[in-house]
Amino acid sequence: MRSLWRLAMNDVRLTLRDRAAFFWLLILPVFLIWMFGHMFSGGGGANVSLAVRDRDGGWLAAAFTEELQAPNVVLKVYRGPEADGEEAKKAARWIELPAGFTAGALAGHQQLLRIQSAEDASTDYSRAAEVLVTRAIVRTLGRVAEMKGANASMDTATYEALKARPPIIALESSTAGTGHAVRGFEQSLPGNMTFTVMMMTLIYGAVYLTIEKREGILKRQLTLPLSREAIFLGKVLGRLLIAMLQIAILVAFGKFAFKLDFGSSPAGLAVLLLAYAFSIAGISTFLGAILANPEQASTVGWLSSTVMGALSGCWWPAEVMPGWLQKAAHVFPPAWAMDGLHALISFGKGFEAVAAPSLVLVAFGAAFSWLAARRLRAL
Amino acid sequence: MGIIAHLVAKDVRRKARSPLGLIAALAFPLLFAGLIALAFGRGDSIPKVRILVDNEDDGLVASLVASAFTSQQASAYFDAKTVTADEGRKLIDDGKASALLIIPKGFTADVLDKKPVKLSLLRNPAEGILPEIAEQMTGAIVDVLDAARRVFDKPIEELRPLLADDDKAPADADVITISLSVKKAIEGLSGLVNPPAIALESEMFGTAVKKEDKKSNGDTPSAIFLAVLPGVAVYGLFLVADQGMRDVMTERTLGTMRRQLAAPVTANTVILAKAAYTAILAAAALFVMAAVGAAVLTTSVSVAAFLLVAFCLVLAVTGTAAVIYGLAKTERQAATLGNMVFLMMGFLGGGFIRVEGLPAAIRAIAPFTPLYWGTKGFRALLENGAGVAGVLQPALVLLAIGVVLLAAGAAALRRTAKAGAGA
Repeated sequence: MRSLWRLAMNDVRLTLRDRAAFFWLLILPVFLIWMFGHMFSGGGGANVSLAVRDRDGGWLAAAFTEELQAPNVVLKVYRGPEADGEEAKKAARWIELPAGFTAGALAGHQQLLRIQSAEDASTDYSRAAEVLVTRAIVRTLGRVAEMKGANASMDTATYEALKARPPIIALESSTAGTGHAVRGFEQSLPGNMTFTVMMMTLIYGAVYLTIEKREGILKRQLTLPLSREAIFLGKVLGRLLIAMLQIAILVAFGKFAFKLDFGSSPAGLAVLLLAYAFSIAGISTFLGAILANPEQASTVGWLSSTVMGALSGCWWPAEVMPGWLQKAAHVFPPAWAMDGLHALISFGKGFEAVAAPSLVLVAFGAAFSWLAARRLRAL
Repeated sequence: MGIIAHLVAKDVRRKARSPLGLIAALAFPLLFAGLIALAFGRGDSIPKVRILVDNEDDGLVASLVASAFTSQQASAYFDAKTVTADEGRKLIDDGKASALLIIPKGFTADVLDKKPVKLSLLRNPAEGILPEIAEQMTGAIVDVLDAARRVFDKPIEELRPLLADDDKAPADADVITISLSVKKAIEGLSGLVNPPAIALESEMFGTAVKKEDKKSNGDTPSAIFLAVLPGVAVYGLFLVADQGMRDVMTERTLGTMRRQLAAPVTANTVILAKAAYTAILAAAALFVMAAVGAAVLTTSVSVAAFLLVAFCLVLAVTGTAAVIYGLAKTERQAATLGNMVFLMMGFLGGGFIRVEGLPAAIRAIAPFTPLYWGTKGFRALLENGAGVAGVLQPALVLLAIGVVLLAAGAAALRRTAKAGAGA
C-alpha cells in the first residue's frame, strides 16, 4: 500500500514540478469560470442595454419609452439634438421614434419601429430587446385603446393614471429547487471545473505515461519488488490524485472567492467528484497505455476533452442542444458528472440524487482501467 | 535561395512522414465548428421549450391561456403538456421540463370580475434560456389579456350575468346589446390595432419586412458552421505554425541543427528556411480549411480579398510562432508557452466565442491579438461579402503585426540556432 502511494505521489510531484501546471491547474480554469460566468449573466452584468432616440418629443413617445423600463434593462433616452450626439452613437442597440410618432400613432398611421444594433452587439441581447419592445407596444396600445374607448383626454396625465392602476392579471415567477436560478458563476464553475479537470488529467496523465513507456521507466519499475497490479494501480491513483487536487483547488476557490453554494450535501459532492476523478483517471491511463508518444497523447488528450466537454454541457448549457444530442452525450463521463452537479447545486438535492451518476462514473473508471491494464500487461 | 528551398523541402518531407500532429491541428477547427453547428444548428431539431400547464380552472380565459402554448403556431417553439400540480412539480424537480405554468382555480371568474389574479410560473433552476423564453411568452400573454380585459370592459360586464346562469338562454335584446358593445369597442380599436398603430419589425415575431431574394438561413447547421469556422480556423492556424516553428527546438535538441550549421549555411539561412517552412504549412492548412468552408458556402466570396487576408495572416502567425520559440529556452518550455499563448488568444481574440458575445473587458483586449484581426477579416468576407477594400484594415494590421513579430522572432531565433550550433 505504501509503495502504491509512493508511485502515485511521484506522478503528482512530477506534475507540480512543472511550473506550467499552475497555469492549467488554476489560472486557465479561473479565467474560464470568470469569462463564462460573465457571459451567462454572472457578476451582475446581465442587463440588456437599449437606447431610444426620440425625435418626436410627444407625450405618447415618452409614455412608450417609459413602458420599456424593466428590471435587467439599461435604458438610455436621447431627445432632440442628443439623438444625433456622440453618446447616442455609442449605444449597442437602439430604436428610433420618428418625428410625428405621437400624432401618427394616434391617427392610426402605423409607426414601424426597428431595433438597430452596433456591429459588435450581442445577438442574444438584441433578441431579448425585441421581446421587451413588443411587450411595451402591447401595453401602450392597450392603454391608448382604453383612453379612446372612454373618450378621455389624450395626454400624459390620463395615460399615467391608467398605468398607475394595479394589473388585473399578473405573472408571478419563481424557481424550483433552491429557489434561485443558477446563473453566472454558479453555472460556469461546475462546467468549467468538469472540463478543465478532464483536460488537465487526460493530457498530463497520458503524456507522463507515454514518456515512461518511451524512456523505459515503466520497464525499470517492473524490475522493482512490486507486483504489476501495484504498479498499475499506482498509475491510476496518481492520475486520480492529480484530478482530485485540481477539484479541491477549484471547489475551494469557488467557495471562498466566488462565494458559491455547492448544495446541502457535502458528502454527495465529495462522492460524485471522487467518482468523476476516477473515471477520468481511468481514461487518462488508457490513453497513456495505447498512445505511442507525448505528442500524440497531448493532441488526443486536448481533442477528446474538447469534444466530451462541449457535448456534455460543460461549455454551454445542455438545454440549447437538440434532445437526441443531450442523450447521446451520456456516453461520456462529464455528462454524468454534470447531471450530478446540477442535482446538488441547482435543485439542492441530497446524496441520493448523485448515487446513480456516481455509480456510472465508477463503472467508466473501472472499464477504462481494465482496458489500460490489459494493454500495459502486454508491455 | 536554392539552399533555402532545399531546407524547406527537407522539412516538408519530414512532416509528410509523421503527419499526425498536423492532421490533428487541422482537424480541430473543423471538429469544433462541426460540434457547434451540431449543437446550435436549428433546422428540425430546434430545442423546444418544454412547458407544463397545470390548468386548475378550465374556464374560458384559462383555456385561452393554455391554448396559447398548445396552438399549432406555438408548437414550433413549445412542447406543451397538460399536467396535474403533483405531476408538474415532480417533472420540474427531475429536470424534465423547462417551466410549469399554474393557472389557479377561479382564474376566469376573477378576470371577468376584474379581481387581481396571478398566473404562477415555476422555472427549472438548471436551465437559463428556455425558462426565460417561457416567462417572456407568458408575460406577453398576460399583457395582452390585461389590456383586452380593460378595453372590452363594457361588453364583458354585459356578458357576465349571462355566463353566470348556464340554464337560461340569453334574451334577444341582451344579445343585441352585447353585440353592439363589442362592435363599438372593436371600431374604437380598429385604428389602433388593425393594423397596429405601433409595430416592431422583428424576425422573431414574424413581423419582419420581407427582403427580396434574401433567404434567411442564419440558424441552419451550415450557417452556424460558417459563423464559427473563421475564429477556430485562425486558432488552428496558430497551432499549425507552432508545429512548424517547433522544429527549430527539436532540431536543436536532437543535434541536427548543429550538423546543418557545420555545413556552409548561416544561421540566418536556417531561420529563414524554418520561417518559410512554417509559412508554407500555415498556407496549406489555410487552403484546406478554406476548401471545407467553400464546400458549405452558398454565396460567393472575393478571391482577391481572401488571398490578401490569407497572406497577411500567414505572416502574422509565422511571426507570432517565431517570437514564442525565440523566447523559450527549451523545447518543452516553448511547447508550454505556445499552448498557453494560443489558447488565451483563442479565448481573448474571439476564436472560440464571437467577440460580441464576450464580456466588455475582454472585448477591449481582443484587438491587441492577431487572432482577432484574422477572424475579423474572414468574417467580413463570409458574412458581409466584403471585397479588398472591406478587408483592408484587418489585412494591414496583420501585415504590420507580421513584419514586427517576424523581425523580433528572427533575431531571437538566430540566438537559439547559434546556441544549437554550440550544443
